[in-house]
Amino acid sequence: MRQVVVSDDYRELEIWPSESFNRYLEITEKEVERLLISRGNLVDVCCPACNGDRRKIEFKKFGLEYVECMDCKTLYISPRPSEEDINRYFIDSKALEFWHSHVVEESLKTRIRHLFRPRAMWVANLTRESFESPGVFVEVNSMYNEFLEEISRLNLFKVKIVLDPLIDIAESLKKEFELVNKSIMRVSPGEIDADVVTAFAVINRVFNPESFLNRIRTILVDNGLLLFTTSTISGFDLQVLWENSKTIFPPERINLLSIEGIVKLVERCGFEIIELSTPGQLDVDVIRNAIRSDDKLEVPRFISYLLNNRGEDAYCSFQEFLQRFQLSSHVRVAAKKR
Amino acid sequence: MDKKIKVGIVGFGKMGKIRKGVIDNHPDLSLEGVCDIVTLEQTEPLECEFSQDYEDLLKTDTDAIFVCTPNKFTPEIVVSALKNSKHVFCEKPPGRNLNDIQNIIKAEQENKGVKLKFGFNHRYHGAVMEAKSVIESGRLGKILWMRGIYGKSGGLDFEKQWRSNKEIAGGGILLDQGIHMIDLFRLFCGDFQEVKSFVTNSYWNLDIEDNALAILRNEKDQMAMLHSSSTQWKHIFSLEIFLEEGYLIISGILSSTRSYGQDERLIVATKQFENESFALGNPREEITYFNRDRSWELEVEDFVECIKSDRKVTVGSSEDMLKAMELVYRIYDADRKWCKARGGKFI
Repeated sequence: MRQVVVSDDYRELEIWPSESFNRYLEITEKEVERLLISRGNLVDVCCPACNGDRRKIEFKKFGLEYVECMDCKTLYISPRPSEEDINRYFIDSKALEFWHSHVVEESLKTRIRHLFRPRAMWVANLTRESFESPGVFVEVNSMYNEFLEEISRLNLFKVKIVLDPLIDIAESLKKEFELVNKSIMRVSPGEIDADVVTAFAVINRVFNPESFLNRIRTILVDNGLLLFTTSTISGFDLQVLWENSKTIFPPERINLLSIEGIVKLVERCGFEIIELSTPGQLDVDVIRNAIRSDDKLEVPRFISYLLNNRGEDAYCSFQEFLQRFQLSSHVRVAAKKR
Repeated sequence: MDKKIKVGIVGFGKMGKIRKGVIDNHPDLSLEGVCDIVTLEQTEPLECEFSQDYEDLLKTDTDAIFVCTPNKFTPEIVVSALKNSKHVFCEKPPGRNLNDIQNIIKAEQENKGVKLKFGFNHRYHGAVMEAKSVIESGRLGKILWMRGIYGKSGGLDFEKQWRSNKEIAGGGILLDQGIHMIDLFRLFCGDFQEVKSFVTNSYWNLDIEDNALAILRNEKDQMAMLHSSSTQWKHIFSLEIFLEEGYLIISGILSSTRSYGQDERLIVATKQFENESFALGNPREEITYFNRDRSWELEVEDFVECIKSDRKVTVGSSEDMLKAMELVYRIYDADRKWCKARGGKFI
């Protein structure tokens, strides 16, 4: 299994501009109440990573309870809104509109340069190493036209499919991408034979990650590639900040799988992991910003000392260490259908 | 071939024992005999035949022989094994000069049914295979140049080892270790026609080299720079490959002692010529870590597959070895001072 460390230079506020992101969280909280909690359809679930049922309650966010799996240390929401309600949320939520019109808009240049372009290169590199003549590419639940543009520029795939996108696909991309407007859970076996399927930041918010991965497996050809990213609770900033983390909130992060949980889940679903990396750049920066913006926030003394008394070199080296040992909260996984 | 391949090992020093470990774990191989000059009492307990004469091993019904002897003895054993219709896996270098490898090739050509593979295991290291895959994908364009450093320190008994004895080894650090880097240069860029070099023995004062610096150029104008050293007090393996659109750096190579690093690292980056001054000369890099050395098992696996499916040896072939050894001796020859002090050219 390969493991990758990335050296890059961008900061939290370039991706999540503070003011807009805070406003986005406020809207999300209201929408969670309106579209999820008020419906009262909460369902008790086992650990979405290892299926374990031993857990302890940790904290509440936006009215929903996060529990920690006693076996694989995954943090997840249970009871959680029903699958139907969650799917509906991502269609009807005003928070998502705000996300695109403000947070993404303000950070678009950085996102293209540091997220979408490298992501497309990752897809390209692994695809070229696995297929001499790549056929069908499928992106599940697309969130960004700009990423699709990067995929389009690769000129790599014979067929490109956008499956159940969460955005309106740009007119300029409609000639390039075939649009399938239904949930992957409703795609019949044999309907799509994909060489490569991508799902960026989807696992963390689907009702049942195991069903989701199993369904992806059915649309992949033998030895087909699944590439996905998600947030992991094994990451430094999430471990340190825990309930104080701004990026732990429903419904976008109802499944914060641990690294160990990810391995169990992916292998249980019939995949061989060929890469599991945590190439996140922001853990140290996120904690530094959290301390700056909240005098009362308590973090371990060593971390406080490190961040107050050492310079950029130390932060960069520390972030690299986190990546090296799969301790950053952004994880990327490449897996081959067994 | 459904039945197990019966193998023997000639030379039961460090390399022979490494090969035994791989053979013991391979489902298609059965170790029938071991041969070494030491007595049975002096070696580790064995569950196979033991002999002090390699010819005894060649008389048995073994299918293949692993030759893990010092350079002086290797050519005779390999030629004899080939003539006895045994497949041969041979450690590098298979002799002390070009005549030795040429004689081996002659025996190979006269015994067409047998497979002959040489131990260029570096080609099977994770970082090297990954680098090859990236280069072959074409996404970084054509190779412009390479820079390889492979060095180790001698140690207390360095002068007493057979590798330090010209009569037995034939050459110094370049022939013994640097040849791996030369093989990797060939793997990525093919053969080199032009050679310039400096070769010295200024520290260990042996009659073989302890440092060789060489620059090579091929017909495609691809250049390679090599430093092979036995005065590298901190062990190092580094191969930089720069291409039209980016670069790869292999840093560290996994060894049994981990003295060349705890991991092998492959750095891959795409050049950034954007109109943003901060990006110039400091591109985004991706570092892939490899922490398991499967090179020994993979190269033996390839040898086994060649035998089982009667496939031509394409990695570590006799041609690979001949070309690598030719380059070693051309590097010696390109330093006039080195040649003059040794009574003339080597080739």
